[in-house]
Amino acid sequence: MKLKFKNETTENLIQKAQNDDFEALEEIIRREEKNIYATLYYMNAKCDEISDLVQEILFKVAKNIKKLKNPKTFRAWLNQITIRQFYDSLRKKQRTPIKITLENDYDDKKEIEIPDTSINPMGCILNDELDLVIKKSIDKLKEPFKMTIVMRELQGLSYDEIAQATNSSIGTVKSRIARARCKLQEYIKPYMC
Amino acid sequence: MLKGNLTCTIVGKLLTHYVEDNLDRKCKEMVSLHLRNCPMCMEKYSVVKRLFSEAEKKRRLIKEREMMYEEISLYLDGEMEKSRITDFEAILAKRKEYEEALLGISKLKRTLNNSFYRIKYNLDTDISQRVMERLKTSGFKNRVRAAVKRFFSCFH
Repeated sequence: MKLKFKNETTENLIQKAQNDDFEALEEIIRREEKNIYATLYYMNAKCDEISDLVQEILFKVAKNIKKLKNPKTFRAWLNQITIRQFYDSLRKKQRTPIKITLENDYDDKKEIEIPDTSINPMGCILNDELDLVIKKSIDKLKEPFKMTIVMRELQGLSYDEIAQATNSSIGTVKSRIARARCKLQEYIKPYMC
Repeated sequence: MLKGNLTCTIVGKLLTHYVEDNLDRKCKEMVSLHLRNCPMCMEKYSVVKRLFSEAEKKRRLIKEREMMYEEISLYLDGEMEKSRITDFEAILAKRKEYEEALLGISKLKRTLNNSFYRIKYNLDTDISQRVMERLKTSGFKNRVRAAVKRFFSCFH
C-alpha cells in the first residue's frame, strides 16, 4: 500500500482519479480488488475464472471512472458492474459447450487454497471447516438473496447502496436480507458454538 | 347423490373454491344447500376447512417470523429509523423470542464477518497491477490509433 494515500478517503481518491491521477486510481483498485474477489468467491464462480472476471471488472471501473458523477455512489456503481459482469459470464458459459478432458489432474470443482496465518492448528482446521460450510450454505440460497447477503455482510454496503446496485426497492432489500439470514441461520446453526 | 341441484362429485370439485370464497353468490348458495342436506359432503367440507385454516395459521406464523427478522436486521445494521428505535427496544425488553432472535442474528453476523475477513485478508492477488498495465497499454494504443488517423486525414 502506498503510504501517500493511506489516510485518504475513497471519495477523495475518486476525485483525484477523475482528474487523471494514475496513482490514485491504482490505489482505488487495490483497495477494492479483495472485496470483489471475495464476493465472486462466495457467488461460487469457478476459481480459475475469478481472476479473469475480477480483472475485467476492475478494468471497466478504471476505464469508466470519469463517467461516475457522484463519488458517494461509487460502491453501488462498482457492485452494479460486478453483478452485470458475473451474470454475463454465466450466460456465456451456458452457450459454450462443456469440455471433457482425459487428463487425471483436471478437477473442475477444486477450491481455492487460502493460507491461514493463525498459529493454532486445531483452530485452523475448525475455521477452514466453518468457512467451507458458510460458503456452501450461501450457495444454497437463491440468486437474489445470495447477492444481497454477500453485499451486506462481506462488503458492508448500506441498504440504500444495495438497492441501487441490484436495481430494486429498499423494501425488497430489507425482506431479502431478513429471509437470507433466516435461512443461513438454519443451515449454519449446527456448526456454531 | 343429487341434492340442491348439485351432485356430490361436482360439490367435491367446488369444495376448495367454496372454502376460499371464490364462488359467485348463486353457486355458493347451491353448494351450501347441498352441504346442509348431505352429511358425507359436510364431513369432507369440515376436513378441507380445517386444513385450510391450519395452512393459513402456518403462513401467518412464517410471515410474523420474517417481520421479526426484518426489524431485528434493521436494528442490528443501523438502518432503523430513529423514531422507531425506542419503540423497538421496548418490544425487545418485553418479548423473549425477539431477544433470542436478536442474539441469534448477531452471532450469525459475527460468524459470517469473521469468515469473510479470513478469506479476504488471506487472499494474495496481483490483479490491480495487471489492470493498471493493461490500462496503460490500452491508453497508448488509443493514442497511436488517434495519431495514425490524424496523419491520414491530412491527405484527404
